[in-house]
Amino acid sequence: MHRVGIDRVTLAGAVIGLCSFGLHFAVLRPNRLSSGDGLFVWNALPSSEAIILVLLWLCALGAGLLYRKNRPFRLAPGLIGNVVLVLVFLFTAGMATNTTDPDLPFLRISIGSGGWIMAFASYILILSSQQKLADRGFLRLFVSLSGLTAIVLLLATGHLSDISVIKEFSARQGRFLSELSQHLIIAGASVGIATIIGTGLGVWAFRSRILERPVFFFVNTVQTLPSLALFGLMIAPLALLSQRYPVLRDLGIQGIGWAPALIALSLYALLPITRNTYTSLRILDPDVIEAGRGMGMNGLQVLWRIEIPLSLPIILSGIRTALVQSIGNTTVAALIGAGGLGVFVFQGLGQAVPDLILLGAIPVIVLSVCTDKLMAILIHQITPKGIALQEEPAS
Amino acid sequence: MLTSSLKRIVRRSAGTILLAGVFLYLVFDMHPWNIFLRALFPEETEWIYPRAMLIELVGEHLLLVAISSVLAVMAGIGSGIFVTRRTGRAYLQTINDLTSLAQTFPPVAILALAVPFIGFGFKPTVAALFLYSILPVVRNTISGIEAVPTHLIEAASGMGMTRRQILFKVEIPLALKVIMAGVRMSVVMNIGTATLGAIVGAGGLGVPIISGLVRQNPAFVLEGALTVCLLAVITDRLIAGIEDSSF
Amino acid sequence: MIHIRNVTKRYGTSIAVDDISLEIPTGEICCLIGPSGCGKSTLVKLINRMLEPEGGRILIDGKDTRDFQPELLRRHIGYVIQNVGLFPHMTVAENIAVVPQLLSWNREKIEGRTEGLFRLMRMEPNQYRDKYPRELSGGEAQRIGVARALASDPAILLMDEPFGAVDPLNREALQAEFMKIQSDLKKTVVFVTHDLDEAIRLGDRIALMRAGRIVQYDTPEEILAHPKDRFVSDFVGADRALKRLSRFPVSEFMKEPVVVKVTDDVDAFLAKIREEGKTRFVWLLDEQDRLIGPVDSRHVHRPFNREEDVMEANCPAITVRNSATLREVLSRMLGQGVKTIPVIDDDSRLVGEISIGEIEKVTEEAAFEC
Repeated sequence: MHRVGIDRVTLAGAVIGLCSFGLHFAVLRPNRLSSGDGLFVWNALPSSEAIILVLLWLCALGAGLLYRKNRPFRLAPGLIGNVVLVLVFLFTAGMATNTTDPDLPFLRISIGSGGWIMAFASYILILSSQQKLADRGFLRLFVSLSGLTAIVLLLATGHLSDISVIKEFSARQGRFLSELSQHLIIAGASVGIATIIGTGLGVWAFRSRILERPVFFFVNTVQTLPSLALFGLMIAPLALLSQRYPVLRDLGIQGIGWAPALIALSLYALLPITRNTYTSLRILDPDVIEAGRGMGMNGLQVLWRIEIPLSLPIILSGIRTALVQSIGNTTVAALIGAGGLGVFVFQGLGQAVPDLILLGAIPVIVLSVCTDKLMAILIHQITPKGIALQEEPAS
Repeated sequence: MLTSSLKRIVRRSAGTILLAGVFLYLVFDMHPWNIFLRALFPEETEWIYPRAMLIELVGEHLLLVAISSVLAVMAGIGSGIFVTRRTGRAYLQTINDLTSLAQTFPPVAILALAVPFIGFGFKPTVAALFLYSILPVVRNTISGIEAVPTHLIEAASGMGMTRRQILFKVEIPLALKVIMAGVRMSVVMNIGTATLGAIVGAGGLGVPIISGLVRQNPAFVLEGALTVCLLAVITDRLIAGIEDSSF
Repeated sequence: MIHIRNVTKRYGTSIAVDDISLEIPTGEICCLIGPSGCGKSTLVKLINRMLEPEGGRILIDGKDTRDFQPELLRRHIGYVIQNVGLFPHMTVAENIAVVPQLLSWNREKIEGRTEGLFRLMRMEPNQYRDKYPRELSGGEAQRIGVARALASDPAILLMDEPFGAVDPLNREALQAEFMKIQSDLKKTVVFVTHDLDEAIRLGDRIALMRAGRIVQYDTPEEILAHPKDRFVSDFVGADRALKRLSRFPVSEFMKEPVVVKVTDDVDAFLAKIREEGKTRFVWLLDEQDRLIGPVDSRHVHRPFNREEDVMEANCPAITVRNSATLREVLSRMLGQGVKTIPVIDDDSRLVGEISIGEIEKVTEEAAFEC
């Protein structure tokens, strides 16, 4: 039972982690604009911290090479991964105290490619443990979230405030929060509109054979259009409309701004919701409904107790896809003046300030991932036990 | 027999071929653009993006997409096959977890993040496009191959096929439809993301769109947007045609 | 000849095949049967090296299977599994051609072989050649599966519950066809089944397995007549005497019937019969020698009246075909409460009669211990 073997995933993670030492762990810049110098681990960090990192990765290597099927070995990669993840951020922030240079008051410290790859490798270690631990057990949850929770706590208590991107954030906190809420409002509203229209379309397409093909032809085609192009296509008609009817301009509807973005985003969100509504009706077994009617349920009861519980998970799954998509596409909408976190991304690209790009891109990624995971939990909770929820279809 | 199936393919893709014809015409001949855009936006002074010909922009865009997609499809199918083989099976779940996580990242974020790490311009954009468009190909290759019923593999093995023969004669032909669906998703998404390449200096059809937004000239925007939309739809339909004709 | 010598297969701590030795003579069908998990499928997979044993050897015609590359070995062994496993993306002809192609046969040889196999399965080549598996019925797919296994003309056929997924009616037809084919081809067949009736019907020998070991390896008649232990007798069932009867074809036991045709002088014939006193019942045939029914020579009108003196007996409840076994005969006898059953051929012509006495003789041969 206690065979010694090679745990390939942990080994892969450890190898990547050790290779990351060959890239720049951190980047030091004299100010936010100039490109700085990359530093390797042994140059960036005091020797004690560097040795800790090396030791941790060697432990991971050992855990990968000498794997046994008992609990400590199943936990080890995950624990090491979480610790390394936190340390990457903590040590980078700690560099500020070590490198205060009176000649460089605007010194900027950021995580370099080596540091990011080390973080990626520690995520692989966490995945490795996750795979081996029981589903939904406490240990699994701990391994999945402890590192991230620690980072969030450090962030909140200001321990990471010396990392460049955090400084960028502190400098424009108000603006960040307003763009964040704008982003959420636009993405959320577009999915809301798409839900109302999309569920209707899905039901319609299911009921009427004639409508089915044109409806899906339309939503499928819209999905293939590049987001920037669709935003662009919305501008012209809205510009013309707002010229013709000035009242629209008073409402804020014009060629650029939130209006074309909202319309385009709603159109994009239509496909996943319409398709999933349609599918959920399609797989509803008519025998089940007949059984319900036969038991004496009226139309409303059939709807409430049978149809909705069975189709809701699938529809919510479509909404989940639509939300993730919308959050991403709203980022692009900043280009047509709709605001949102994309503002920072494009400002950063335009002014060549990498930290601004990070300030926009990282929250967008975090938002997407969190929304996806939260929706997954929600869907799992409301799925009636005994129903196997299928994975999203591939196309 | 060959001509009847050829006739069938032509009939089914008639719409696409027509669209492709229209597209090629519009790319090479700017007259209809002039007439159309002038009529829509009489107040503007310029209607056609001046700094590059539409055909050049289309070429840049296609080059971006082609290189990154070809590499992504090869690497994606290769990885998908690798993790479903005996030697790669240990990595299957990890690759699944990583790709499904990475697919929730917005493509624009990946593109933007490539800049600080790799730089501006054509090559970094190709790299970012490659990284993102490999994901659906890997996922669909894996799910397509895993969906081949095990009793077919058993029958093939029992008949004396080597593992390689089983892969090429049974698994891949049966998984092909799903794999092509992934390729289609990947390429179409790539065309869309490549539009944003204009912002990081990669050229392409996003250039007139961005220029139009900056200069507040909707004619430029329309020129780029219509062209890239046509390109996306035609590509989608073409690959769908290949997808439908495989088993 | 397949020699299985002291073969063992383990999965972790559990033993699937426990030191089994078995000899399967050339040209015979050996049925492996037993409860789930007894190791019968595992044993078959060891023969074509789909699984590798931990101990022991398997020799085919004197050569150790380990001396060959597994893929090469399998191309010369036919393998049929329960779901058939016809490749859905290939036509029927392409499916059949798979192994010949792996063996690099030229195209004409493959086409010729394919056509021959279609005829063997009694399926019209032009009709089935370009069909896809999804267009076939269950029975058709199974026959193509067998044809595919025979494509390279292997000496050995391994069949793992090949007719299991088919409905009982089709299954009987497939079994009958398979026996016909086997009588022509004389392959060495290892046939795994969980259906005892199938094993009794098809097997020249039966190996009853339990927990990885062979409990009894004998002809079906022997296993049914002399089960070695409690397990075997429980497995074959309390009605093993009846089951055994299905091994005896009626054509071997029927007697010459006493007949008279309607066109003959029936009265005279019946008078002669009464005089001789040897038989009481006579079968009446029509002009084409088809059976009409029995006539009681003692209780008959004079002159003979066809409507009242003959009981119409040409129906399946009262007759058996000459392809039937003693088991059907007994079933008819019990169902009708008679002691003699007429045997007819496919054209309803009377070819013999069989009485309870013949059946009693057969059952007497078996010694049933308590």
